[in-house]
Amino acid sequence: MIKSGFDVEDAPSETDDVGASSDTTTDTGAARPAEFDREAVDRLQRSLPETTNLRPAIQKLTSDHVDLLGSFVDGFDSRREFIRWGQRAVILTLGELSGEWVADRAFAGLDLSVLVTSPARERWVDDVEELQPPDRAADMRRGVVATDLTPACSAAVRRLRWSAVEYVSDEDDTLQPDPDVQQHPGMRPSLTEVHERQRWALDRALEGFDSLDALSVWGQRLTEASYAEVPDDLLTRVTVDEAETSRRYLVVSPHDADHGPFFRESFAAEFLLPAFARAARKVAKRAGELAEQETTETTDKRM
Amino acid sequence: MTWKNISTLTDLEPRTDTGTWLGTSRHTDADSIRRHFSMPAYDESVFDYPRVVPGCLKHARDNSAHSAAGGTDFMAIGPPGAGKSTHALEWSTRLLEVNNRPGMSEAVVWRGSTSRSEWVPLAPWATVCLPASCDVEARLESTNSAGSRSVALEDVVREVRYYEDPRDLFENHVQPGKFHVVYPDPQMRGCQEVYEDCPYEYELEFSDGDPVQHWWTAAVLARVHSGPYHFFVSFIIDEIGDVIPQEASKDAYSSYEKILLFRDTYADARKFGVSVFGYGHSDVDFHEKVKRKVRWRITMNGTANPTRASQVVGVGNVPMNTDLTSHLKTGKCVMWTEQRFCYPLAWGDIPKPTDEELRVRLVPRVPKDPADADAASREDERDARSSSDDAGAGDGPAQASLDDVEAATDGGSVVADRADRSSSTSEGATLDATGGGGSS
Repeated sequence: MIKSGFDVEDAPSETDDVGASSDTTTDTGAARPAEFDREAVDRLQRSLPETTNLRPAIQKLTSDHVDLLGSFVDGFDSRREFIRWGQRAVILTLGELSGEWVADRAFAGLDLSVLVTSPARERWVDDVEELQPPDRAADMRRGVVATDLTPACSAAVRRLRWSAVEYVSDEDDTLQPDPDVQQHPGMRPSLTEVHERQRWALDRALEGFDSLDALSVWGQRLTEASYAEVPDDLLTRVTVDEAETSRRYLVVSPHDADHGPFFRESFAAEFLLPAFARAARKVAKRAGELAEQETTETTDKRM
Repeated sequence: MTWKNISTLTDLEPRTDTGTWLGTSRHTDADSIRRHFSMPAYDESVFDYPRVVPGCLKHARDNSAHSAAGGTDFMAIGPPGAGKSTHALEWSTRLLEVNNRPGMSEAVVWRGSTSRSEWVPLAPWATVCLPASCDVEARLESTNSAGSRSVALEDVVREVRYYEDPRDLFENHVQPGKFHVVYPDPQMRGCQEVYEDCPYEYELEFSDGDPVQHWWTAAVLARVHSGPYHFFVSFIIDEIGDVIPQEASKDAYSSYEKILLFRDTYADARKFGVSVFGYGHSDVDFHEKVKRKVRWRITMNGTANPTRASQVVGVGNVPMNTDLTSHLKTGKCVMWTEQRFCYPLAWGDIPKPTDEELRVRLVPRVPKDPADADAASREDERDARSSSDDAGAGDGPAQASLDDVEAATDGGSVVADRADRSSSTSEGATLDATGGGGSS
């Protein structure tokens, strides 16, 4: 269950100093916004030293992490959006954030009541009285960032640090890639590729399938998208062992069952995200780096 | 519209009003070609690294032209449809434009092939050089209902000349300032002599029956070691993999040894004002012995340029770090040396006058070996007896071939009369459209 790292009332007070500090924070606690403070973050990042980016892949990955964690602090419109975020997170953390972590959050009602910021969050508690105020929920999400997500991001940077190409300029080689114009996570196109394939497989699973045949073919594409990290017998379990459930919840034509979306979200969180994270880990290990250059208007040199 | 009122290639008007043709200095062939195809004048200032371009394009007898004195070279790689032939046509035009100036002159020699005629857009300015020992059958293959028909090459191009051997070609027929299309001599006449006079020694022989592309090795060798040297010569060799194939083996034609000979000639070419510009589909098409001598390279649109030296034979450094060319549009490329690259180097459209394909077929008329001549004579006599059609009327037995008969019975091929050929322009030469029995 999510516990806010900034929850001063619940946090054990180990010293008087800390407690005093916390009290001070509590007094001004209303200063913390319910959303990610992009303005302050932008100000901070603009003050970064203007040094050369010798290993721009690391800067690119870190920038992606800032966006990723910012969107987590903002919260999600629905459980479905959180699961989709989880897929992006396992890619950007190079698999260091496990799919199981995302699944655990997706199956915990109280956690979802903190993660979901739309009115839909009410459905995840038995009593609306249990709902945290928005700013407090945001603080709890910040706590998750501090306790679970930042370490995963740090582990990802640690994994990439020495495999990131160092671009040292000399007279003949002046290429100095700008991290801001790079498109791929960690400047690795194969991560973009696997992300897009996973995103497709996830979205199809969340939408449901028109027929069992479509489900079967999706299973093959899922294997491809997860670099065969998805359990070998997943399709067997879905279409044979649990045939009735599959027909009822995964195959949406002609009508979607009442709990179809919830089932499919749970299915995706339980079976797809862990496999996706393992795939991201494997791909990142072997991915090549591509330095993209800013698209500038190059003037043809007519011979 | 580039080509007005041209429905067939014989409608083309030869450009005989240029200064190059008339022997005056103003309004050269290059100027005429440029204006016809709306090519802008050559502008050296657009290039960032002059050692790449114009270093490869501009030649000089001293070191004043951004590259070492003498000839240059490149190997251009591009997939089908990248515009290799159009690039070659514009490069040819630029060579004529840039390298014919006071104190400097240059001729362009385009490798003619019986199966292709991409040079046809330059036909009104072209001098076609043919081996004097062969009958020539030119046909226009049309993609529409017009089908195929025989034509006289003189009706398509500005000038047709007949050479005896490679030395005669360069001494008497190739002229500075002009664009030449040279068809190789399948009988290799004079090639062995050229080789025997050169300083290289291999166990090889040029002889009648060798693969015809071997002639080009002798041709480049002839110009490099026999001259004339008062003007430069640039060879444009499309499908260079045919001339120096990677898979050349030590066969009965000494193909491998001729690759080595080509390599040695290639290495010496620069000093003698000879440039070789080759085009191919893939880097693996042409022989690595030659690749190691190449100084400039071109990677065209549609294929990824190399980014590491290990990807290219004979290259110590590749200046590009990323793929620049895969997504380039047709008509653009990167030209590079081991130090720098020019990107994107662009060329314009040079449309063909018509959809017709010009096919030139060469049929040796006189076997080289006298014994063969006797055999051929006997064979012709047998043919003559077995045919009621007087296919050889007006010609000696040795001058008629089965091909002539075939072509003639097809409806009248044009067979140039050898008696009127000499080391001169074909103007005045009799083209006998009926001597081969075309009236049948």
